Amino acid sequence: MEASGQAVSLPQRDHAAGRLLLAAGVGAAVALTLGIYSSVHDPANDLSITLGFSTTFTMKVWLSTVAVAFAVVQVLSAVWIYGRLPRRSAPAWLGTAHRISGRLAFLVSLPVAYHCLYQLGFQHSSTRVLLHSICGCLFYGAFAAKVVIVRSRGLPGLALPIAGGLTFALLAYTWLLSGLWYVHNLGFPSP
Amino acid sequence: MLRAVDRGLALVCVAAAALVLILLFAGPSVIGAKKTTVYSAPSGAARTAAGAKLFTSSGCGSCHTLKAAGAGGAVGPNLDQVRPSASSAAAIIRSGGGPMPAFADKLSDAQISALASYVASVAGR
Repeated sequence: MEASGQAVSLPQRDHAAGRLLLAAGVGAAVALTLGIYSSVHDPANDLSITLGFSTTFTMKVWLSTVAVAFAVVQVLSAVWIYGRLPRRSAPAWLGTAHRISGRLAFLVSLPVAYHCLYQLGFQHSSTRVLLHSICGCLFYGAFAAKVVIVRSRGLPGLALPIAGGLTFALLAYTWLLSGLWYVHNLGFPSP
Repeated sequence: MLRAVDRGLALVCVAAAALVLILLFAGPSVIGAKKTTVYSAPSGAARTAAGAKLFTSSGCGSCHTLKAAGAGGAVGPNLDQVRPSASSAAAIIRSGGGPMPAFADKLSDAQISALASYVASVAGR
């Protein structure tokens, strides 16, 4: 009985390990691609986007802050879905709301990432700027890995919370090193 | 209703990510924008201690408006409106500010000081 149980579980474990490796590989490929691109690309300003804000800096501070706010919604809704909030069980719509908040966080982060990657490039002139550059690239890698994990079946139960937590932590840290730093030093820019 | 929004957003996200990738790798020229390099400060000009020349040579005017320097950049804060002090300008030039790159590895302390003093002295005038 035990032997047959092992025979069934081993392929499943291999499958799960393969999926996890795939997720890690996709994440690493995305992060490395962005890092290499931003390192070798000559920063240029041929497409300055403001999306209605007064300056690109202002747009970036606002959008990155909104992205972090949506990410906080993601974390809280995930915690609720996993039954870790001292409230009644999660409503049926929460899963969809959780996905929507994640998509919105990703969407509003894109103009910010575009400006960073295309117009500024990978910077390493100070520890803060270096960490910001690294975390920004790693965030999209973690996001890609999380998408692979979300769409995979039969993975360990901790895989998704760890990927989600890592993605949130990287986004938050990237924002702390830029958006919050900017607000702390120059004040919150009026849109 | 929520599910329809979710599905629509999924498509928007994929399209937006694809657009960003195209702009990154093919360049904004695919939508008609002309490419100009910003942060490649000429090494010769970087050696001068004149703040006005440093402002121009370092590409400050590409992002900032400073009437005295004839700069009308709209990417970063309008320096004529912000009117930073020399010390705060020097701190931001040295370490970067938000998305602005740091210039500590591009300019010497004397050059940063000269540039900051120049900006503080002419901003808003």
